[in-house]
Amino acid sequence: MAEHEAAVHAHHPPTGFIRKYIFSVDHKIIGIQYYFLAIFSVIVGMTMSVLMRLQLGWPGQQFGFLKWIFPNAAADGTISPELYLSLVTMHGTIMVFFVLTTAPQGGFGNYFLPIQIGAADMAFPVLNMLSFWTTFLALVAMIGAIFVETGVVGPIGGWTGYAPLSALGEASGQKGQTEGVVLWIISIALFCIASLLGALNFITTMLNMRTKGMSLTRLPLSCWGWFTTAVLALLSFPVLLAGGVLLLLDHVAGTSFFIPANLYVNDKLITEHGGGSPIMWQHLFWFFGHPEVYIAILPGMGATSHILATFARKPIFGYRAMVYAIFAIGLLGFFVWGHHMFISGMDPRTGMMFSLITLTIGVPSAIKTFNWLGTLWGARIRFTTAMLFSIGFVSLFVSGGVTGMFLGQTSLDLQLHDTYFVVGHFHMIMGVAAIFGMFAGTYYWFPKMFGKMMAEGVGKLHFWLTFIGVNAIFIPMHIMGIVGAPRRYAFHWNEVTGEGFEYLKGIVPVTKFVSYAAFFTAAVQILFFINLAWSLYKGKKAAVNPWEATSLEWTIPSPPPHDNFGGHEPTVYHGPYEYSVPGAKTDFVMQTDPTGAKAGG
Amino acid sequence: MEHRVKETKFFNMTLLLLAGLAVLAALWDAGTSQFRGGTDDLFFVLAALLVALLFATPPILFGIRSGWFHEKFVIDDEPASSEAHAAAEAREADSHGGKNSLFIFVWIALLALTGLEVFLGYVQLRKDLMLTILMGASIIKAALIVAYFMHLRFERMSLVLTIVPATVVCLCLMLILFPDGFRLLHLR
Amino acid sequence: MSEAGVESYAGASEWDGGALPYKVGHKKLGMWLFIMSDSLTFGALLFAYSYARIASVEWPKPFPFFPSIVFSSVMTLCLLSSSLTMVMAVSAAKRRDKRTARKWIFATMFFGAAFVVLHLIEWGHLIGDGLMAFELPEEWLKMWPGASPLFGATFFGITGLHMFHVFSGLCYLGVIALFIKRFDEEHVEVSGLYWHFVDLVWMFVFPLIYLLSIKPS
Repeated sequence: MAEHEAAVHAHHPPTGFIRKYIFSVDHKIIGIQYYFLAIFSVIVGMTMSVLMRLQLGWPGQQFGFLKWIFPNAAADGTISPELYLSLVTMHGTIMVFFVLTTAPQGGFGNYFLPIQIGAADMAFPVLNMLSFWTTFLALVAMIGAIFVETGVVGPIGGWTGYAPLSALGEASGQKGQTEGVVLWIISIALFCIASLLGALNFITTMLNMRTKGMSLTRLPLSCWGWFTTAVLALLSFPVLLAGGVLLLLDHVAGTSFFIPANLYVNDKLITEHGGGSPIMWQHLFWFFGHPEVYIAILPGMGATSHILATFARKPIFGYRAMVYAIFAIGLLGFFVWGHHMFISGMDPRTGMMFSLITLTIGVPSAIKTFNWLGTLWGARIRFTTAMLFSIGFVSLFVSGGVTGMFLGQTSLDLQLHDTYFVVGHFHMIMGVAAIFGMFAGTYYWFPKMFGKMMAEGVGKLHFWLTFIGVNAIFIPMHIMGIVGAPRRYAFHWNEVTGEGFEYLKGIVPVTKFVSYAAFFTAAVQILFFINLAWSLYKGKKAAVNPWEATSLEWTIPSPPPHDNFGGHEPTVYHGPYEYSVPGAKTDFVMQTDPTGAKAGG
Repeated sequence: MEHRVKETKFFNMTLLLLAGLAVLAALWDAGTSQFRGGTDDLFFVLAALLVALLFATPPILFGIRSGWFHEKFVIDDEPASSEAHAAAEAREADSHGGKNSLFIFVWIALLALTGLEVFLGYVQLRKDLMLTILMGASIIKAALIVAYFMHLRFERMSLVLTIVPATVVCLCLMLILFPDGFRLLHLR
Repeated sequence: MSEAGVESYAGASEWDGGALPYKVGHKKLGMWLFIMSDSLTFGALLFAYSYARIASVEWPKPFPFFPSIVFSSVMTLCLLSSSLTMVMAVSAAKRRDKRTARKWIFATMFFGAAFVVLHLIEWGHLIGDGLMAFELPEEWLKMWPGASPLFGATFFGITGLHMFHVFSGLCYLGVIALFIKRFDEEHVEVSGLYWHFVDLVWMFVFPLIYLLSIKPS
């Protein structure tokens, strides 16, 4: 974390006093802080995934450098099953909470929502700062969870932390379910508080602080994405907070909300607990967990819509339909959490309802996809890096979403649950698609955030290699899942010792291929980080409006001054996507341009 | 034009009728089954209420558009000018005595409902009946607190529509936990 | 949307920007949103409690009508009265009568503190009986064989979190009352919203936890 603070300092070298850049209340600085927190987390999470792929591709093999990374946990240079599980857990938790939730919403949302609606700051600047620092504390606690357990690098319960094992603690006699879990729960609880305070701030800002003329139908779609995300966060995080409090009580106070009687763990009968129900934890977790999926993807959708329209030089196809579809996805997202629990022992009749509503989500998603395609149709597309990543987002959204239709059906889910099919599906849609949204946002908004252009050539190379890489990783995973490879297993078939599942012998080459693809893709990301760092210092100076876009952030200098619009409030006369308006002088009409209205008329 | 107004009226009336029928079906099922351990009944009731809500949505939206709710529920509408604003403020200042007595009345109502609840506990009512009445009374109490003590009654309808439905829907969603709870006992 | 760009209806309604669409300030809207969120936290806890109770073979009913229920009714009375005094404080603040508002806030804090103290006394009695978060007293198990140990967990968990909210509310009101010169009427109103919400939660905790666990006579 030291590096991320240092990075923040580095961008603003001369006036480095703490109030202004560390405990800043300026939404732009806080946005950048969130962004770098996410970058730090993504490096940690990605390293863990590389180690996991190392184990899966070559199970049980000795690697000298592992001794150096994990002197305790991997003293013999191999990754033990417990270590592997803890890597899975920490990879999942860090990626979901501190990257997918933090960067698009806390980072870009914080930076650009106030600017795009024409406000000088968020509604509650101090609360904004507190949300960031609570998130930071949560990250510290999560990183702490890596170090407190012996023999592993954190809890081993997966990012869902399923009870009863996560609730039992010492009593389970299981490595990796003790203090690490406590820190993990505390971290999640802190993150919940930070997120719901942030969400409240977003909603208030968006509803109350729009500038003159910025009616609801003139908001950029990115704002709608952040707004819907904030609504979801506001209503789903408190439930996880409640669940987290109960799990913490189970873990430290000896209660048994989630622990049934007569539990038999590690050849030992648990006598001191009883009366609870692990399904209740699953319900409380997934009540949050499914909206969380949309919390990760909706800002990406908003940013993608925004960027597609900009570089297609066309108005977005069906603005209202896009807004309604975002809301429909957000609303339906609350009704479907049970599709994560089809085989948990939940009431099968509720399963049917969950299945039906899950399939219904396909409708608004399809509306969005077809509207994106409609926007691209017949357009004079400018293939910048941001545009490429946005198109990549649409592609991944389709290929990840279609497999979601498979998993949403109870009968198919019985077969595919907890296999690599699920891993492939959610990485495609929630992992990579959301990350593509973030990349698109980075390439698009970097000039505004830091006043420098990113290198386009390297960016395009980065896009193509990443796009090929992620498809090479996750499409084979679907096939592995259909074959029946279970997830969260440290290995499927060990060629050297002949251990594992005989029937999975055949997928060993596929596993190795996926591992190679993962190393390749991870290595390609170095291009991005180099591009980011290089552009920060040596990048070409950015003009006010390098992309010839119309929304409000492109009317002010890059980077924007402290109060965004220099004390006066802009007035908005147009919708956000006035591209190629017949009769206008340029092929774009700024939202603040009063003359363009006449020309357009 | 007149034709269309008539059509809309007819449409809304039909939908309201259907919504009413769905509510009646829910009530009928609730009455006959008395929720004796059957998750089917719980589900039927919930589904019927949801259908009723769906049917009732277009008429309600129509009502909002035509300003029906506005007249009925919004007391403190926006004053047209600063003079009107000043006048309204003066009116408000005058009516404070009246408002305070309203609050005291609400407080007494809350105490009375609490007293009723405690009394039910004293006479040890049947458990299912007790639960129903307690929850009903609690919801009324919560509504009173939200409407009067928290001044939601005196806010704009749009704020009410922003806050209340989202919270209520999310809370009602958690009812889906109960079928599992009922089943769990039989799974042991 | 290119047609919409032609019409320039800036400022036609409050929803078109440059105005507060609900005629409600940031703080008040923010507090309402926080209340939505917090009500879901308590909602989830109460649903978890109901779930545990439904799924248990036996649930202890340890509160005799006298003294337990009467005692907790007095606590309810305290909280309801504190809500009334808070309403009075808010209307005093709206009249810009800060002195009176401060008096009413102190009255609210008195009732709130009384609630906390009474609640702690009750906790003390129950803990004295041997009720812990993780186990029931021996006698209770004799009276209700096979009773779920979750009684203590849910009781202390939910009332504890509620008491924490009351306590934070007391601190919040204390700050508002002490520095009332610096705060305007919106601050007082927003703190009032929070306080009423705490009261509202108790309106569900009281019947669900106490009244449904009255000891049969």
